[in-house]
Amino acid sequence: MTSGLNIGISGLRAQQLALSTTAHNIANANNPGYSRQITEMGTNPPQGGGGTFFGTGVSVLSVNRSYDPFLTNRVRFDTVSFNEFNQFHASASSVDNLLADPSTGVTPALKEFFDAMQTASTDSSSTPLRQVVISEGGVLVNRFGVLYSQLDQQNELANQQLKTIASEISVLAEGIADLNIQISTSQGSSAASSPNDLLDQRDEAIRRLAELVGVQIIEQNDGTINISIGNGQPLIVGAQFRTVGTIPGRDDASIDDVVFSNRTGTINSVITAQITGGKMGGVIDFREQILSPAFRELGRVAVSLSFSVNEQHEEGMDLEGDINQRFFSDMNSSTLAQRRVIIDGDNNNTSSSDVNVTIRDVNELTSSDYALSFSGTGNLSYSLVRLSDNEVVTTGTLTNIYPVNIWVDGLSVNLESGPFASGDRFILQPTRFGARDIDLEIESTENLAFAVPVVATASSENSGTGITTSGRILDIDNATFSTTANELTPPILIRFTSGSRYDVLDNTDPSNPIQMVPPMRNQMFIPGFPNDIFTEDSRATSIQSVDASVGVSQTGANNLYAATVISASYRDPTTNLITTFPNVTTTLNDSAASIASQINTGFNGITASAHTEVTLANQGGGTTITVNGEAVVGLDFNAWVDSINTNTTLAVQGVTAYLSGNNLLLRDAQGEDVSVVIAGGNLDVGGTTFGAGSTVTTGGSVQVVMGEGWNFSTDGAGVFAGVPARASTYLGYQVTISGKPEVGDTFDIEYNTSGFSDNRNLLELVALEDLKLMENGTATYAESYGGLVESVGALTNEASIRRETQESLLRQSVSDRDNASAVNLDEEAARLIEFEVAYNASAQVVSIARSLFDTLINAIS
Amino acid sequence: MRIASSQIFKVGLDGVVRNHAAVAKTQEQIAAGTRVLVPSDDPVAMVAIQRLELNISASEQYNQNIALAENKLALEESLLQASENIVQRMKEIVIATNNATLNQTDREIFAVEIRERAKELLNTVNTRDSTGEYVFSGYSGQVQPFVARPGGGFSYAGDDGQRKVQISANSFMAVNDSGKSVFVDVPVENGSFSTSVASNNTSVPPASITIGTIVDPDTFQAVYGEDYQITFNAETDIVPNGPNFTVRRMSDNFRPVSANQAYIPGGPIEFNGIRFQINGNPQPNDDFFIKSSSTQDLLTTFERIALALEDDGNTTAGGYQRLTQILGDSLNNLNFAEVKNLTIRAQLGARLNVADSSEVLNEELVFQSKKVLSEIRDLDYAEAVSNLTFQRFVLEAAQASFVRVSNLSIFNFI
Repeated sequence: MTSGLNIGISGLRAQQLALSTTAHNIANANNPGYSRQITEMGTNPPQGGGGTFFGTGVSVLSVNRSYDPFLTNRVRFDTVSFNEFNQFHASASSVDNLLADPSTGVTPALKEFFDAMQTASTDSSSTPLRQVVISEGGVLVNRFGVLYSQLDQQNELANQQLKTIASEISVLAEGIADLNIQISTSQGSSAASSPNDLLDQRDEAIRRLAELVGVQIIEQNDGTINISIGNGQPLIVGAQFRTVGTIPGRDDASIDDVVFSNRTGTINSVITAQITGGKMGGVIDFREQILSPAFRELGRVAVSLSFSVNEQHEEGMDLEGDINQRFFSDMNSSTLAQRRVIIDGDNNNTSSSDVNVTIRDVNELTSSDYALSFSGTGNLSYSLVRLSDNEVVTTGTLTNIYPVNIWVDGLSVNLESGPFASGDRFILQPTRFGARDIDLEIESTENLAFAVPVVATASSENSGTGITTSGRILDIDNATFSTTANELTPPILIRFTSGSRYDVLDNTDPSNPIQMVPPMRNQMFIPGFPNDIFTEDSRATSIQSVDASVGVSQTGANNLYAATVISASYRDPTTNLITTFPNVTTTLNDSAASIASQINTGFNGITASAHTEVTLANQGGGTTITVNGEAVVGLDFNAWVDSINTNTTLAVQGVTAYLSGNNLLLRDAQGEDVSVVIAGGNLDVGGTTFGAGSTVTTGGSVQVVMGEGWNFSTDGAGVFAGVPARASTYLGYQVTISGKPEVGDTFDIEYNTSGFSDNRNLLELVALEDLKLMENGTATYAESYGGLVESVGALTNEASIRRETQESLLRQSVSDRDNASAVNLDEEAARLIEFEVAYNASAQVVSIARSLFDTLINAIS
Repeated sequence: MRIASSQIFKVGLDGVVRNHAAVAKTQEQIAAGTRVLVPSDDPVAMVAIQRLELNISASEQYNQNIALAENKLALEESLLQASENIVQRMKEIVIATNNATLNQTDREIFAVEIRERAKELLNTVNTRDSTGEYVFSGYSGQVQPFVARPGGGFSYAGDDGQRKVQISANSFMAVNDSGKSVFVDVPVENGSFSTSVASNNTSVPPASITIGTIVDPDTFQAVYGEDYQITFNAETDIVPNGPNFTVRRMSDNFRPVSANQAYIPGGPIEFNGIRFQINGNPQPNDDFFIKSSSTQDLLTTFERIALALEDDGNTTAGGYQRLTQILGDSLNNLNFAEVKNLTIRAQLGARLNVADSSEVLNEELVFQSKKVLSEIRDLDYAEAVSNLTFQRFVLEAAQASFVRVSNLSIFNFI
């Protein structure tokens, strides 16, 4: 009978516990991470003997949580991924909006800048139109600046986010380590039941950690959990945990690094590169994939625009007649050049070494950063690595002679002074700050250089149909422009000596144009075709042998030019391959014409020409002469000129005579020797007085013209006696004459002093807009910027898609986990009723046991 | 299947939120009228959009250039028309004066009108445009192109420059013609000559040379093609001592034609059928040049007609015959000027035609680009509105079902 009572009571107790578990479930229905608990009941040990067992009621064995480690792990995993892409997408969207927005993007401002120049080209001297060009230039510069500062704010924000996330991670790590202790302690006390709520708390803490960063979990036997983040960086080991923080980056102080530190704040290690997943991974990915490239790509557009517009603008002439002025500020100023270099904090010779980076060619410019490092002993070797693809772009050895200029990828890396030490490292950021550094240098409308400083004009008196282009600039830094400000040195007169030959003359004194130094006489002209007048080879040089205007006159039938050994070699400027030619050896008394021909034959690529000119003066009374054996008729120079110029033999030889003041000039266009036999009196030939009966032979001069890469030397004998002066023939501009000029036609080339309405350079500036100046000739400024917009857009778009995928995966896994573990109130309601009914029934059992007991007592009494 | 109560709320709420976002996005697209709001909506389309917008803006800019260029060309055209009228009047005068019944006084009266016409022409060719630039001075827009020379006649101070303006992606249109090409390089009948002063002369004030005139066309014809240099010599070269000069034939190796001629300031110097004057006090080694020329500027033509009409020798029989010959040549010269004028105007017309067709082409490009742009970027309103309606329907359904489902609970019945 007591057993019935006891059974009833055990039932009451068990149902009561079950009811309270249900109440606990209901109470925690909205507690995230809570796993519903189930009361496990078991029958009490039976009572009995003699082969029969009687039940003794029920007791509560344990309270378990409904928990599936697989589902919980999946939630964690999907939380990591979703938060990574969600964070990435959120950050990327802000840049995405920024770049293409008409009010912040570069494209519209770029267009308006060039449009302003287009409009100005219709009236290039108009002050209002010029003002618009400057204003639009200012708007463009401002646009770059605004974008830069917006990106900079994004960078600051990213740093801030990393810092916040790091401290949240640290707090969670501490909490989890604490829970680890509690769980291991409580599990130790009773191995049978588990501390459900503590476990739930820890799972939830881990889930929150997974929102912040990717986690790996290893469960230990004592119930504790070890957690590592990123690529296996241990964060929590049992009761131990590490603190996560941020410090300014090593390679770039504006980009914070994530670090582990211990409790006292000592930094253990930088783990930025190892972090993946979660919000932290999202921020770091955003910084690496979008923000840093955006800085550099945007900077590259700014640097390229500024550099190439300046290059063109410098070639122009402003309203004050000045050249060589910048439109944007100098991208290669020493301040900017130095700012592109970050000196590693561990370098040894920071005080003595000096590195800077200047821009050389925007076409080759990449948007990468570079690392310059030194190694070795003695003469250090350096290596330059392009960080975008980690390729070693160049290596070399230092010789301790500075400066060293390393030309690579459109940059010049200038090692201004040393020494450097082995292990020294420099980070080079050629374009990182471009968008911030671009600035307007031009201030007043007069200084806009829309004209070209040279102008070529055909003389009004020309009888032929030759027309000339006005001229274009090849190199504004040439001495032609820099020797005297606002002048050409020298001004040029092109005079046609026949329909197919012309001389280029120094027109400094217009009444007496003289040969250039070195001379450019007797140039070939092809009638009816455009003929470039000057060389476009900036390294073209010319050697003039003996003085051009006066040959060397010798007594006797020979010119007495000694035998000469001439050698030449050619180094291909692109391959550096050197071709050495066999020496040319001339023999005694070779004429200039013959020497020139031997040079032309011996050295394929060198052009030699010969020319003879001899001055006759101070004709004595009764002096007569023969020239090359031909008798010259007459008693004075006037008559001699007629006689020589009408002599058919001499005409065939190419010998002509001219009067020059009181002198007579004898010329041989082929450079053959000119022999004069004097009779009857004295005559000055080539500056020396000869008496009657003398035979005087004048040798010609040789002019050698060669392009870049040629080396030409002689033994200094004969026609090349004395050191030949090698002089540049490059004038830094080009003029093209076409049509059919006639003999005597002239063309003037002068400084475009009054060319205020000239818009040639402006049209060149306008043309920059559509020239594919960037990315190895594949992109205009707008296209290069468009590439940035597209890549950010594509990454954002991709992130958006992945975010949505991850979101639905996460939703699914949370739903799976919740459906398995979370509370269903209807279920609990049913359980309430169920347990209540059972409780009531147990109470009835007690009641019946009592009435049985009463019945018995009453029967006794 | 078991569902957690929290899921019932979460699923309902998620549905409402998601549908809200979709409605908001569609609404934003409808409000903006465009499909691509940010690059990530369609990165490829965004690049195409930017390129098309650049094309449209460029073509519109070209048309703006064309409009400004057409203004300039129209002004030039009207100035050429005005100068053509003056040349017409000059031809009438030349024909009228080539008449034996006129006496010298009549001719001199005509000469006065010629000089007035020359001034009128000078005003015309020195016109500035609305921005204050001289129309006919080439690149030197701030330099008056035709300036009077001391001692009569005019010289051209501009240059050959021809400014260009971009009118389409690959073509440029000239917006001016230099005075040299229109009024200076005018071919002449039977040759002409020009006079000039060496720039390094030392006399102060600089001695000048008049433009001169042909007084004997036949004699000049015989030596046409030659250039001469007049060099002043030391005063001691002649007796009695005084300023004197030597004329050298440049094209004949500077052979002296006449040596050591005494110089009378302003006195006529005549040789080989031409006459001119040198004024001032030239110093020894000062040079003057007389150069044969196959062209002659229009103002010089005017001046030389006037000089010919004023020539005292016209009254002699030989003189009159020469005058007739000169006037005949001058009439031809004026015809050449007219032809030149018409040629340039024909070029202007051609340029305006090109400008017009480029304008049409540019507009067509703008139209096409806008069409493509619209296809890529613009929203299909029918589709968007239908989407919006459907999304609203889904949203309302999600809201309604959420409310219904969340009300289901056994607790309501306990």
